[in-house]
Amino acid sequence: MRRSGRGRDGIPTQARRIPAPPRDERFSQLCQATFDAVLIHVDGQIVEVNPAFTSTFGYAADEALRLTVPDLAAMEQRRAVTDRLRRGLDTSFKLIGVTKYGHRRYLEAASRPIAWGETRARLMVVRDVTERTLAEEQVGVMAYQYAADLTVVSEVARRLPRTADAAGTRRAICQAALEVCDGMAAVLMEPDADGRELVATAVAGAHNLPLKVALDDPTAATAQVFSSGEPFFIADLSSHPNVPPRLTEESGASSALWQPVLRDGAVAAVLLVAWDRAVAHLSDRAAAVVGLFAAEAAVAIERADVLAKLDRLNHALAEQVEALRESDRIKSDFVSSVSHELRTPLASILGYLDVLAEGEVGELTAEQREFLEIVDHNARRLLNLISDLLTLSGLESGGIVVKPVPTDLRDLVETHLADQAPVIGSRGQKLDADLPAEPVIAVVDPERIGQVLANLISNASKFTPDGGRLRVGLAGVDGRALVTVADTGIGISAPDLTRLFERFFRATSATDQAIPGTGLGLAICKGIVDAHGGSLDVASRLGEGTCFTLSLPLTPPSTE
Amino acid sequence: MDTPTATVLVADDEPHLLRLVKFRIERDGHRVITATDGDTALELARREKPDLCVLDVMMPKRSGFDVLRELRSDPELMGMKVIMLTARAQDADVDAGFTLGADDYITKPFSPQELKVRIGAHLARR
Repeated sequence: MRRSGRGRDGIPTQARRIPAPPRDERFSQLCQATFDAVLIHVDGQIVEVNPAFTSTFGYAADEALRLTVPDLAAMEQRRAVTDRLRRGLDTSFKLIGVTKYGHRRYLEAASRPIAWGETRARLMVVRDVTERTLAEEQVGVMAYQYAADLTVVSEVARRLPRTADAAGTRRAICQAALEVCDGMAAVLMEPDADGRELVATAVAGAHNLPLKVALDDPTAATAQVFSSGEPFFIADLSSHPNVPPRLTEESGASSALWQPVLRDGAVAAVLLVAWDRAVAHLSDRAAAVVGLFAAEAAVAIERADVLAKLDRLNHALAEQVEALRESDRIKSDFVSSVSHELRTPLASILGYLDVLAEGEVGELTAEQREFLEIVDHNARRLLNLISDLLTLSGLESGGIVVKPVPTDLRDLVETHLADQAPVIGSRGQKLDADLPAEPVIAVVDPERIGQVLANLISNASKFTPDGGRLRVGLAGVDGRALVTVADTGIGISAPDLTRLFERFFRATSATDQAIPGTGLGLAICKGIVDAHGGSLDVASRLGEGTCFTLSLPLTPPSTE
Repeated sequence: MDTPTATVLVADDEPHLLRLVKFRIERDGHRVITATDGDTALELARREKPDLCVLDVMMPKRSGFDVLRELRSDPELMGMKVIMLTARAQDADVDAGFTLGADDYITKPFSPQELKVRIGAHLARR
């Protein structure tokens, strides 16, 4: 320790006589009584100390008067302290001090200018904060350890499965618990379906641990932990009254921890970890780690259970879809096979009629020929009915797919009008066609839409008395083609209008007059128009006439 | 039309229809052999090597489509005409028939008159 010479910064380090002011009793008592070290220095030269100074630094009062303030600082801090003195800084500062015996102390110091007789001096209060600083450092170390523990636990948790395999996830949790706790065995105990017992749902590292515990067993640690939600630790299983000796002998467990696994604040499971070595004491740190792991385990269990449930639901849904498909397929097969079964006898009927009508097995009388034609006509009606049913069934099941191509609707309407002109003419009906000068091109299935047009036109004629009027119009409006088929026929009553497009429905006005029909035509038309993204509407007044309006998009709606 | 006599195999599990078709073809002077199931049809076709076959599709033991497939893979039967005569009237069925190598596809119910004309046309093109 320097006792002489002059510091590099001009601070005198040599003891010199500075006249002391008269002793002030009150001030003196204050300094005597305080626990902090108090010193007075003049330009760094200590001129007065209190008893606490001696207990902090070990120097007796007379020894202190031979020292400068930098002498109290640890070697590496002396320059900084000297610098503060030179600049006259009074703010409080921290420093590492050194006692007379070379012990390092954590210090906090603050100074104030005072008058010391004729001289300006500084009063410095030095507090020993060594204990507090070491404690703070300890907290820092703990925080560091905790962060490290957190990393370990989350790393282990990260490796837990994220699948619907509920059992596998539980086994992985037990395995991970062993890793985290460095234990011998881990068992996950969960309540059974009726909530009477806790059963082991997964085990790692052992086979002989208890697999079932009654929830109301007051001596069972597992049951207690499940109801209390508090972890439970037994350092020495062999001497515990509630642990059967057989158990510890068989399993080889010395210590055990029962850790509750909380889900939404309620105990969902108990994780039992056993060690084959005596764990004398479960530190707070270890308890925190296990608690942290239990929280991760709870999340993993819930995730697996939810995923498993989702899986089961998906599976059930897939089965239902499959069943629906199957029933749809059966229906479709049924329709197709019924159609075949009906067509085959009809093929014989119509075929033999044809051979007979051709006179290939002998000439026929006029009456025989007439009767055979009636048979033929009715057989063909039956055939048409079957074909209509098939079409309708196909439209409903989506089995019939429309094949849209750019089609001139004007041409299509003209063709069908020409087809039916003879029938219309034969009944003395007048036909007005209001068609545009230009083609109206729409992307539709010409065969299917032709079927609709034929049906609407033949209906108009069929339900209109001889000599009535038919009007067929076509126009392109706002990206849609509008076809109107109007007649001055028998009309349809308002209640019947609402049911007109139902299968097999026939308007009273038609049945009253015994006009033949199956009630399938309009249902088929509607199905075809719907498949084109179009609409088919009807307006009618009983006894005055009916007007159908077919509206089709010029370009088809995008599919899917 | 004077068609030279040919041998025609008709296969259909429906006896009334079989009789009708046989009657119609025999009236044109052709020899008709018949089968009521697919296996017999295939066996007869291989043994008798008819000029033309009229095959139903839905037959016991072997479908008309399967018979057709076998016939078309047999180099000895090249040039044999095959007409499918079936109640399977859907587009997909007709497509399948022609894809497998049928020369014609007639759906039931059919006109015996039309069948006669078509058979005549196919035989003339032998």
